[in-house]
Amino acid sequence: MAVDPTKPRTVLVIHGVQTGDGADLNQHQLIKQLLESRLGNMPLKFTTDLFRYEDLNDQAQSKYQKLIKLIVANPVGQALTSTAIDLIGDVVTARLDTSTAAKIRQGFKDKILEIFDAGNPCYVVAHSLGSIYAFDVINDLMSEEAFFERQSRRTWPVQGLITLGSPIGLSMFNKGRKRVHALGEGDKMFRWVNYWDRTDPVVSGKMFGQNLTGYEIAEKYRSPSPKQGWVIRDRPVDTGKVWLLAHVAYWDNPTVGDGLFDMVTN
Amino acid sequence: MRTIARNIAWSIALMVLPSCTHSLYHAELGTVNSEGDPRNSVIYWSKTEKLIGAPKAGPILLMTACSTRRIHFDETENGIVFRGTPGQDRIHEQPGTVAEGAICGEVQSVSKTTDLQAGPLSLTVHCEAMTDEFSIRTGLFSPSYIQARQEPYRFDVQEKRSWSLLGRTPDVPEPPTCP
Repeated sequence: MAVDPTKPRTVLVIHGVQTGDGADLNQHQLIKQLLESRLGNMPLKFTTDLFRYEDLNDQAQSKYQKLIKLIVANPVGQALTSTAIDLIGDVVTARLDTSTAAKIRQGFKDKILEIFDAGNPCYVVAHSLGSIYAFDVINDLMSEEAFFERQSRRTWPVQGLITLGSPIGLSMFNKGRKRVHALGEGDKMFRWVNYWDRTDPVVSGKMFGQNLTGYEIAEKYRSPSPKQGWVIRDRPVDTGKVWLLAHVAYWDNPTVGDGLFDMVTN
Repeated sequence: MRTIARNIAWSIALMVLPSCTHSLYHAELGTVNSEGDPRNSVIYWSKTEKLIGAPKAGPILLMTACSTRRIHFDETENGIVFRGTPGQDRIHEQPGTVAEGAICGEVQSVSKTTDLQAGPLSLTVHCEAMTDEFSIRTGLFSPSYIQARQEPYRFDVQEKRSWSLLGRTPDVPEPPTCP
């Protein structure tokens, strides 16, 4: 199969840390609204889709949830602790090389290849911890012989990556992610744009949302080698919100929408 | 009585501390694109100032009517610049594409987006768009953006200020209409 550039674009979203189950997730709808709001009067044909993995995470965490229910008798305390387990569990799952993380990566890869088989150009938008899975899966696909022949974008299952509020700059995610997979000789470039708010605590690892200074998070992966084949841009964005509110404010940020428009149409 | 007063003071402080002042900067200019067609260009960026902590702003977006490209002027160690993308941009009247990281334009005089104010803003553009089979061309739409030229473009930037308690998504201008 090959990608057909004349077919409608697909924006595939992978979510990040969540509470609740997969049915609670609608980030692809938010991305659809965001992109539509930045089209102006351009008739762009596109669809959005969401890869849900929260149910897999919840299954992995169920034994801890049961334990909490035994320990915490108070319903309010139980609810709060359960939410904390849900969120922290997501982080641990993504950080460690667990079987659940492997299942999530495989599921996301299958979803990408489903879109590839249909021939639609696919663009990935990954939020928070979802960006770790996206990074792993895209690099994994690049390492396979069948995909990502550098001079032919028709062989690329993913045409570009946008990450939002990614924790990839934190040392806890360094293991196994020291570099991106080089595409080899050629002049076509894989684009990765990393949007982050300077007060987003998930990006900075600073619990109280102190401003993160400097310019490099994803750009630490840039290489002077012409064989790398990646264009990597860190883009600090003013979401208009602070701290944890900033972490979930990318979905309707028009600057992110303009960046997505720029990527999807080219 | 003292406890009540202290609680009221805390409540007020907790309400005010996360409050933000928002500025939306924007300007429109009659320009031509690299194909010589008259196309309006719109520039915008936002800034958020908190009661405590440093302000944050940007990036600066430049939109040209009928263009599928949205040009970002990013704050970098080299100033506020439009970094060209290999395969998508080339220096005007030069063969081949730009090298990764090549500067395709810059905001003049100021190096930090948070320092920019309303009033005249000068910026340069040195590059023009390149296309490949994945570049969408439909009707008048194409990747072609504001024309590269030696002298800077001068935008008359307006500021719109607002205030919010817990922050607000910037209300930015629409992309310029393609005729």
